[in-house]
Amino acid sequence: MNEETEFASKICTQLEAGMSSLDPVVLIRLHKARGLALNAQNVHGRFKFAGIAAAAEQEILSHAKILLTVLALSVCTIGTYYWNGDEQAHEHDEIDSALLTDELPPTAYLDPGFQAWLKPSVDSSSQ
Amino acid sequence: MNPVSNSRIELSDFLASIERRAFKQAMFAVKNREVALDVVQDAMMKLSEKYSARPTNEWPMLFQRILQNTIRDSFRRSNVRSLWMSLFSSFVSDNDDETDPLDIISAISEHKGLSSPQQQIEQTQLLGIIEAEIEKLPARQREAFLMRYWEEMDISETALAMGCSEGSVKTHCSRATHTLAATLKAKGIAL
Repeated sequence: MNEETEFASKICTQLEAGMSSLDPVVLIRLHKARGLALNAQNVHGRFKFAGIAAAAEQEILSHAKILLTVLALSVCTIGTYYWNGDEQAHEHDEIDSALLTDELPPTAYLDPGFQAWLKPSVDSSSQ
Repeated sequence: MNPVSNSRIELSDFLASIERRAFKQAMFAVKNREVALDVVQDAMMKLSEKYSARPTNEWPMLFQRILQNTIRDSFRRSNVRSLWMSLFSSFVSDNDDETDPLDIISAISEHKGLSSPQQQIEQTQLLGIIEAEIEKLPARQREAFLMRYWEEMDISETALAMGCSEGSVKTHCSRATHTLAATLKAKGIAL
């Protein structure tokens, strides 16, 4: 132990001796402060756990909301796709059956699109 | 025993072991008993609320850091506090202390008796001089000195608690010790 540490140690011995002569009122206040601090530890712990539970619940709810939205959008998209497909198939069925039964209205032959569609099919049938 | 109650006992023991020294440290800094008690209570609360889950060997360093920060906060608020105190002091009753007289008796019974009244007086006088000289030290020197030698923290812990380098801690401690030695010698006190 060097001289400096030895001197400091002697000072601290004196300070330590003074600890036993602290005012009783101070000791009581310190005791109460300690009690409050220990209670704060418990309360904080309880709030911490309650906070964790609430945060977890909040997170689960937000995830569920997102999941439900994505699910609803997917259902709508798939539904729309199938509905459009059915519509188109139905239209094609109507045209095919009209062609087969020669029930096409005369105006249909005035439609340039229909003419264009008929031409390759006529060429392929003549070959 | 569950971990919570175990931790509570450890924390209680730790706080009981440091509370008196913490009070004196706060007293050296703020020089007011009530403010010092408030500072110690705040520091205890903060340690308990925020750091009680940390390893117990970190508590001394953390508590010192909290205590020093709380002391600084108290200085910052002192102007506002003194203003409010002066405004409301006339409304505060002198008998608002809820201290139970029986508590005082039990606290007195904890006092260690000195061998004679003469020795007791000399001891009190010597302690008064030492404390006064410690109070006069620059704040950083005092903090370093008390943490390093009274709290028996090592240099790295003290540096961490003070937020400075280990070299600064050594310098502060050395200067504090030399100042105290010189002033006590000048007063004719040999320890």
